Amino acid sequence: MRPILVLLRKDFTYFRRDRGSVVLALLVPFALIYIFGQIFGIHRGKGGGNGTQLIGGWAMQFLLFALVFSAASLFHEKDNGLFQRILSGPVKRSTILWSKFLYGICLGLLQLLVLFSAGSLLFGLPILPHLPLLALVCVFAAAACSAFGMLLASVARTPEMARSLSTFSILLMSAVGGAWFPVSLMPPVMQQASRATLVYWSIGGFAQAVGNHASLLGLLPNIGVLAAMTAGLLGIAWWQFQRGTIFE
Amino acid sequence: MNPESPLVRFRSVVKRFGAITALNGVSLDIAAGEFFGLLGPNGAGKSTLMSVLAGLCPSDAGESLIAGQPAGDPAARRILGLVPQGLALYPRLTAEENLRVFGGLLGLRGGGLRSRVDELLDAVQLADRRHGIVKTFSGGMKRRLNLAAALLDRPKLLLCDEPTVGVDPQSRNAIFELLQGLNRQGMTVIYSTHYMEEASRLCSRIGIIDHGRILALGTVDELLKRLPFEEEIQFPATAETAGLCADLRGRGELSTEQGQHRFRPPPDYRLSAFYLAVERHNLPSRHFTIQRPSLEAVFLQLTGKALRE
Repeated sequence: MRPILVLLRKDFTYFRRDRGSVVLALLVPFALIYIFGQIFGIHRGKGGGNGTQLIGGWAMQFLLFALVFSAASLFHEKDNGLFQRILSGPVKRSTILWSKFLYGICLGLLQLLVLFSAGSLLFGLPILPHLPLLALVCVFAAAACSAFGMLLASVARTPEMARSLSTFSILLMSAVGGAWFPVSLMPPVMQQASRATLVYWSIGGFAQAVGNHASLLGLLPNIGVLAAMTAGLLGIAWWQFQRGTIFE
Repeated sequence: MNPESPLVRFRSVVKRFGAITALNGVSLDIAAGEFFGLLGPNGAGKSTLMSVLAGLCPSDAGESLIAGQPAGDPAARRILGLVPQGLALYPRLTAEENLRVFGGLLGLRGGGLRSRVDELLDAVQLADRRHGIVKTFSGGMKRRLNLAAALLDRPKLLLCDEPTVGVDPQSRNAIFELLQGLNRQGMTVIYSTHYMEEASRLCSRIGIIDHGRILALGTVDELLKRLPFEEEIQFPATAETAGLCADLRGRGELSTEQGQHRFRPPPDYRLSAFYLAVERHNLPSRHFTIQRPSLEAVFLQLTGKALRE
């Protein structure tokens, strides 16, 4: 456990030192939430269901981009020989992977915190009364996004390939999953397809927690599916990493 | 471990990457306390050998042992430190933070970690730059920190994979002195390089490697004795020396490279005969330099190509 904490701390120091990452991961989404809110006409006090859905959708898209780029940092660490150094000692490959996954969750939670705070401050989203349940959905959504980032990093052979794959898959998943406009406006086939995306279940979870005032029981389908997706994505990523040469 | 047995043992180790055989039946023993050099051109198999030894990639066949334990076993990992060829550092962390991260991963903590970090920053002459961000460091400073990170856990066996690539002479000397000091204190060092000067200066024994095979093993003197000549005489390849060249032909090996003739006479050749020929052609002695052959010549002899080709 301690090596994971050492690596997590290192990743956060790294994030803090990289002003570009801080701006891209936190400030730019904050500004975009404001701009999109104006474009789509979300007004203070009317931010319940639709507001949560829209802000949740954009938040998921920003989150996926941030976490995929974070997972792609594995390539830089490999190229620098850092894995050689770390793995020649007592640290195992799984320690590195767990630390990246947990870092993704923490970064994701930080980003969701900023984005929902923006929603609350700018558009009056009622998040405070539903904070525990919203936080629970955020944890599962961040975990699923982090696992998705790990999967892309595990199947890509280069950072460039990871970026191309991620841009394509994130935009597709966001569009189909309902991050851009409500799923109910889509044809029935697309509505079915959207259920295969983690974006759909995350946005649904945010909307249930904040907009529909759902109980923990009501949220179980969303967090259950997100947990299953996380396990599946992470399992494939783990398997790919063990087969690949990223640690050699 | 039997005190008589070597610290490192390779037996018929084979490692393939697809169609490429990076290590082709390497057998090698390295005793505790040795400063062992692995000399060969890029792509010879030096880094692969280091990776197998560090447990980073398993061999396809053969046996590699460290202190009697298979390479890669936790017990074997515990006694080794690796200086990778790349600068395995976090560029946005400070020198001290880098060492604290790597120390933390090795299980060091608290006062022990603090004092070890202080000690190593002193040893690599970076104490005054401990709070400097690594990406602002010169290549030499990064190389020294790269070495310090491998020493955190006081390894018994240090694997240095070309640790001076792109380093200024001052940093190179600092690295050499530190490594020689550590070796004097009993640390076994395996040092891979394609610089024969480094191998000659540092290593008590050298293995020459090419195409994944160890071609020769021994001390510098033992390796040089494999050559069919003991001296090498160099002189400019000009019209003035053409007559001398004609005289020397058939009396030893004569080659021309980059405007210089190299005459390598057999061991029983008397240098007085050479000087008589020089006088006969009325050539000034300043044209001629006589030197002991280098490991470069050994490599050329063994492979038919220069070390840096």
